[in-house]
Amino acid sequence: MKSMLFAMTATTALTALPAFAVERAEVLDTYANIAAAGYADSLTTAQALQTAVDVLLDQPSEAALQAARTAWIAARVPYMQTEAYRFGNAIVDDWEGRVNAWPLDEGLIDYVEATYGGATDENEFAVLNVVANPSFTLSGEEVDASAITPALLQDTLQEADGVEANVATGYHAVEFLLWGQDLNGTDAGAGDRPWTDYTAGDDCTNGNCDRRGDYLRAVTDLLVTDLDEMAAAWADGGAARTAVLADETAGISAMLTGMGSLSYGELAGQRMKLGVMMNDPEEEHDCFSDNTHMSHYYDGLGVQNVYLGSYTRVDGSTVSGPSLSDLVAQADPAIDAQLKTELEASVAALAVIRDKAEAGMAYDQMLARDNTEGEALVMGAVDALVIQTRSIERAVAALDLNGIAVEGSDSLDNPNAVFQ
Amino acid sequence: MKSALSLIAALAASPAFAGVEEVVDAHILPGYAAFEASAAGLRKIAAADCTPDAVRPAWNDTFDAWMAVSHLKFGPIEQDGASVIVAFWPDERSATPKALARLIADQDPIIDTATGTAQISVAARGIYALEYLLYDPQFDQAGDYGCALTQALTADLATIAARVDQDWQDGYAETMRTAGAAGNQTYLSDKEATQALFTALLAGLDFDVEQRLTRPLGTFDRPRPNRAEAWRSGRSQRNIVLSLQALADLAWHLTDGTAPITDAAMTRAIELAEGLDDPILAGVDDPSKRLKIEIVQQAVTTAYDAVLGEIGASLGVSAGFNSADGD
Repeated sequence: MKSMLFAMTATTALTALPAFAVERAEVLDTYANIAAAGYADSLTTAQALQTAVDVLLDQPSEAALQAARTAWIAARVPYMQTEAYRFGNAIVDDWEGRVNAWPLDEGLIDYVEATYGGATDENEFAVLNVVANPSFTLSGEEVDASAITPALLQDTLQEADGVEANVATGYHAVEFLLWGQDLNGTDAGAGDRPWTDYTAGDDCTNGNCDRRGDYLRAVTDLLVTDLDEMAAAWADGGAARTAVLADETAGISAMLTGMGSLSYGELAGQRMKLGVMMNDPEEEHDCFSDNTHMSHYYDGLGVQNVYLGSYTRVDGSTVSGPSLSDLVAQADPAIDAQLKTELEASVAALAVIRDKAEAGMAYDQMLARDNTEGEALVMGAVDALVIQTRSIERAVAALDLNGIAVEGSDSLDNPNAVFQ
Repeated sequence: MKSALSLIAALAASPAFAGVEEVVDAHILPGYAAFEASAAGLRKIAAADCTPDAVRPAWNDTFDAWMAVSHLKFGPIEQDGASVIVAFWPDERSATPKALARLIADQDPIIDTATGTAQISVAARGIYALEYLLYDPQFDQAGDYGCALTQALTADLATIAARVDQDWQDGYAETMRTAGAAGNQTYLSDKEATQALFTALLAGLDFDVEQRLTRPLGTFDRPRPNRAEAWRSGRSQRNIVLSLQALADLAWHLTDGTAPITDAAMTRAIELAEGLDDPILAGVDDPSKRLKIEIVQQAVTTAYDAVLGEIGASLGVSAGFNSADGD
């Protein structure tokens, strides 16, 4: 009898709330710390890219071009993991277009093949080719582009004529200048820009090597400046950190909004499903470098990082702390367990794509009309991302986040951000 | 006195709308049945005579029917990406004319079978691809292949419409009606079904504002008339009106007609859209007419806010994630 009573007491103790329940403020602290580390890593890897670009431009060679490409690929690893911060945080979302705008009409920047086409209904400046043209007319105004500076790229060319595809800055502009167009369609092979595109004098290929070099230097410098700004915004006292810590409920909502919007509308929808359904190799996120499989994988991992409250830095160290998962588990352990399993499944599905691509079937080949295996791989990850979005919605409900508005989110841009 | 007032306020704010059943029976099922019937008619007409003049009326009927359900981005229409196949728009990179031109230039025999047609780029399928074939001069001389393509695409569309209609009748309607019942894996609570409808309503209004109005408006100095939806067939204004009418119908059934602020806002938006007298929104380029289009844009935004404030609070749900999240 006594032992049975004891057993009952033990059961009660197990189901009671833990003595030290996780607080929302602690979870937000972890969230901000991971952002600070992620953007700091993005900054240092971009600085390494900047160094490699300087070497390429000072002493062009095949090896220097390869080194710059390797540095670009390495720089994507921490950056893509920060994308889970974008949709929940207005400060990030307003800034993001400067560093990761996509897709782009690359003919704005430099030479393209005839098959690329000319100006389109949507974009008069799709083949502007700033590298070849030191002056031109843009929306009725004469532009002096004799000096290619970060200011010219950011203030005049970026989204020129109000067209989003006029991407003059960010990772993808750098990517185009390092790789060039991928002319292989859905066949094997990435962009193959020769290193001699940066050679001075008579050895210069495709013309205007000096201006091309100026562009590459300016756009890389600008990327570093922009990442520096975001790293500072998440450091102690920074604007983004302050904003997300200001209101605990809104902050937790921002975390889930970022996870859900990236998982569903952006990654599963825009970046993955649409490409498969269009069989269009240009509908891949890193279309010049064929690095899309890595970018997708680290996007998915970033969503999981936010939920588990843990991020592995570029140097191998870990930033972690009380997590959103802990918080959801306190409210509804079943939803937490389900969401953890589903996040694991989506990361695993994205890892399969990554491994398949690394083994030789590039992401754009997976989009080919008759590649049923590739399509199945991509759609497998899409399905996993869609499934986890439902559980993210359930986590919102479990945490009773209905009835609050996320500060700074435009309700029409992002209806889910407004829980009003 | 004060406490009695609070009590009344509390009662008024409690979940009074439970319109899932009503929406399924009065809005969704009839909507998909009509879409299926018109798409079947379109297929039949195109099979008999593939010339644009012969096919256009049935194509317009099908587009009208689609507008009554185009906002429902969940359930059977999301299976195999059917919603994107039926309606590939907006097309910011002109993928549709490019994909069609490539098929025609290659005389690609893949469209000879239904299975083959189902494999072509989504940009070359569905209602908006057919609009190019039926209205754009670029495809006037597409010859026998163009004719076969029109027939293949109308048949493809009819197949999808029939499948979606059947799936709703055969199971998904019941899945929604039994939200929260034991064994329902899709909707774990009744609120989840309500939330799906509420999200569709909000996302539909958002689509009208952002895609159908804001994109062609562009800026005052740089309006974008050729971004108007379906301008080749002269349907831009019509589609806004039909979409708003469908969304008003959804709101009405979802709330059993007990959301007066929403109803008033929707009615005003519809009246303003009907009063535009500008079938292809060419007025974005004309300062005197532009203002009228901006007023419609504001009215739809007001309706969105009304839905959010009035219906969202009463249903006790927040909007879920939708496929238009992102950029």
